[in-house]
Amino acid sequence: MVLLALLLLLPLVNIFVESFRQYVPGRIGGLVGASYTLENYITLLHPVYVGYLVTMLWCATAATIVALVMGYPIAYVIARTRSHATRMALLGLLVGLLFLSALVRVYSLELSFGSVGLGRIIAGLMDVSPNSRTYAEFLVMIGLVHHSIPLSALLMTGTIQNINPKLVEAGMALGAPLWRAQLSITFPLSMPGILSAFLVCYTINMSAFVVPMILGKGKIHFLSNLVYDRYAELANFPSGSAIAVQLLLVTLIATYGIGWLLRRWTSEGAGV
Amino acid sequence: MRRIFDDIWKIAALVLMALTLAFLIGPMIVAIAMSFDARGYLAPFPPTSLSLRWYAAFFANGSFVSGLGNSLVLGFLATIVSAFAGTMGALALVNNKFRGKAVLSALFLSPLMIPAVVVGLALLIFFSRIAVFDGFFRLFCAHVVVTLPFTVRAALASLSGIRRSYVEAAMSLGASPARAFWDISFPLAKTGIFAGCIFAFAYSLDDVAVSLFLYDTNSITLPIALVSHMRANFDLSVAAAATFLAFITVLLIVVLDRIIGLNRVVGQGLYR
Amino acid sequence: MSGISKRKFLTQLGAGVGTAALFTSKPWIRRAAAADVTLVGVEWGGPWLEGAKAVAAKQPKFNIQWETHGGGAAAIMAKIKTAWPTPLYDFVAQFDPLYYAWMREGWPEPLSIDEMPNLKDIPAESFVRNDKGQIINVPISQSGRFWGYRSDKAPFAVKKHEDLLDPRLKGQICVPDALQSQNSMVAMFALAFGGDEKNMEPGWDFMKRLAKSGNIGRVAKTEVDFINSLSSGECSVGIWSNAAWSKIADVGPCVFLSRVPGDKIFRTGLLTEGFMIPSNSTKKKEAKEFLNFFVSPENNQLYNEKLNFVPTNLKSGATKMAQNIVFKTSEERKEFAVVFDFVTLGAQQNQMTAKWEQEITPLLR
Repeated sequence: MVLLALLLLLPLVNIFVESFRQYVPGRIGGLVGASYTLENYITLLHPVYVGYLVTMLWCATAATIVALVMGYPIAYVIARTRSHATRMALLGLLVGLLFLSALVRVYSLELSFGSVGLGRIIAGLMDVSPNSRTYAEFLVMIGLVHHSIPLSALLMTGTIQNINPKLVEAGMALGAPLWRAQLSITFPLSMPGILSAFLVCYTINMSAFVVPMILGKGKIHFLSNLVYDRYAELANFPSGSAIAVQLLLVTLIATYGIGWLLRRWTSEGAGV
Repeated sequence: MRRIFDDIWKIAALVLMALTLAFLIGPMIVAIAMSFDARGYLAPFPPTSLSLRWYAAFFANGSFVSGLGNSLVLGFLATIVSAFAGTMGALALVNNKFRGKAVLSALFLSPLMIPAVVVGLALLIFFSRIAVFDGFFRLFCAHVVVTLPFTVRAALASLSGIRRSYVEAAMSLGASPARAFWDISFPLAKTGIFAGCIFAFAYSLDDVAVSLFLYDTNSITLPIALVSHMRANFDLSVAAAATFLAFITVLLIVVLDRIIGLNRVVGQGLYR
Repeated sequence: MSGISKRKFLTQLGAGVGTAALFTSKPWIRRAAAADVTLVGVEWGGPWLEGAKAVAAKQPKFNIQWETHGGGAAAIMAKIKTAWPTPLYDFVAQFDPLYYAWMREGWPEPLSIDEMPNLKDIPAESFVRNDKGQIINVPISQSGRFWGYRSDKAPFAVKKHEDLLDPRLKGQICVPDALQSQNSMVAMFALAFGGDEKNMEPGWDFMKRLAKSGNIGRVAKTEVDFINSLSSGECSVGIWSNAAWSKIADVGPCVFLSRVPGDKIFRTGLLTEGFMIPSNSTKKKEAKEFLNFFVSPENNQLYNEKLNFVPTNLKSGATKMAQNIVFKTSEERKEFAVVFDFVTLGAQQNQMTAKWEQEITPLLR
């Protein structure tokens, strides 16, 4: 435990410190020993970077919500179905998808929904060109959703399994229609699972890298793309660290903010 | 009147599920088709002719095969440790009410919120400071740290649904806390822990950005080998490797089910 | 924490120690034979590595352990820097302008033609020298970047650079971003409109016009991105290296705009790739011997065949595809080939990337 905390914290501190260092173009990393500066953070106040942040937030939030909505029925079926074959098939599908490397999945989405696939039809419906920025944003969201559904479904299954089905039967015996019984009984009780799924999927979507890079056609940049450029190509570690810190803070605030809201709506808030 | 709403509800749920499944399976078929595509480049679906060349190329390439070996060993070891630590962490979060619980929870989730490249570099610097240069060990530590959010969250999703009264009942009957965990909490939480293991393993097999800074000549992982190969050539071996891995995993699950019964491994909750 | 007994903690500790012991012994990795001299070299993967291995296989003295560049250039530099002075590699493949980054860190080992006689067959301008005038790189390939299009997919035949702004090309152009080849695309624009590497404003102006036109379908971040974009038919016009174009030429008929008379944008930007030896290597003498072998006429030719790059050794022959960027006479070179001032471009890399992020990306439709 202590070892893990060490491994987690020390690098984090290092990044934080690095973000305050000066960067000398052409050299590798920040200038050690020189005075610290806030410049890396001030640059981020530029409206363009705020724009990138907003796009990222919009894509990640919308994608996570859609993924949760789409994943819930699957989780429900896996948890409740009496057919062993169905359960196996669905589990197999979800697990198989997870092990299909992210890069391959992204390229297959590019082929399916890109300008050489269904893109022409869908973009036509949206009245934009399939190579346009608007459609690229849509593609990125599709990519994020596709990536998140297996995760969310698998995470929610465990919780739904532990809910007593007799509760819904009892509700219906008391006169509630099925839809009302589900909404007021199963749904709130599965909240810990939904919350966990939300947290994991949201953080993954916020720090998504491959999906925006390939599906975004270079027109959509998530913060982690900006960081990658600075770390892996430019060796401008200070600026990269500043953006990483920003991403961490934003994700923390957004995740816990929305999580807190969700918990407010349901009184059963067992678990963190 | 109520019946109609119930029917509408059921139909809506089914339609949503059908759409989700189509959305998930479609690109998967495209990905599989890519691996059998005889054309030597990324081309529109469907393939004009099929071939096994990518599979042949994959297995003939020594660096891919040794990379696969490295990745499997690394993934396996990292998953076990991560699952163990993750479950411990989840237990700590569920069982206790202490101040700073939210902070600890956030700490566990933080590696996901930081762009993978940043984590990789931070760990590289950390390991250099303590003069550890062995690639495999560095990768192992990094993968444990990075998969921890998955295992913690997944275990938490299951554990938090378990009524505390069960554990208390067991303990009042004379079981030690460890025994109570093993006999009561663990079986109920198995689904979550299993899901966590799956995520961890899948992530470890797929990770490039974290491993990028930490590997050395003897510890090249499969995704790094594939990505290095792809500098100027979108070699569809990636698709072959991914399909192969996904297929093996699904096969493994089917075999596990035949031998031990999936329900014993994955867990089936309280109510069957 | 309740639930964690001392027993569990000790088991965990034991597992940790056991795992660490397992890793340090690593029984599943076979070690290289101790008899030969082993050198550790870094190359790019794919055809680069194939070519390098083919050359290495032709000699019996050295056993080469190859490591590949997994990602961007800075990854390997970060590894070297954090490990310094512990030696990691004996030679590393890099290109313009990373030579200058290395020199600023003080890493490259000086080389001389006396120690490596095959270097005399390489044109003097390919060498990069440190401030003492010593050679620090072993140039092995020359590649070129130029515009081109797929004649089976492009809406019309592109003849002059103004065509790039033509509305018929909406969403059809795939361009590199500012990190590719040190933004040499915009540098070429700058040279065409009266600027140069130090004054890039005219280049940025044209870039902004191109961005606003809505003709850019994709901004590719890697060569694979570019190849996929054109091979799948997403875009039909673009600019990248000779190697990329040779892959696309396999897919469909292409027209290369590497030497269009009178057009200052449809020219070729040249760059060299080469090896450098870190000065902290323990086997510098052996590395020099091996690299000398590597750039002999036959070996240089063999290496460049798979890449369709131009061999740096003047005695080597070039493949057909490489002929695109071979300029035989000095007039040809002067008119169609550009060697950018990578020192300046490299120093501005950070600003240029920031400028791209701030001023170009928001304009893209």
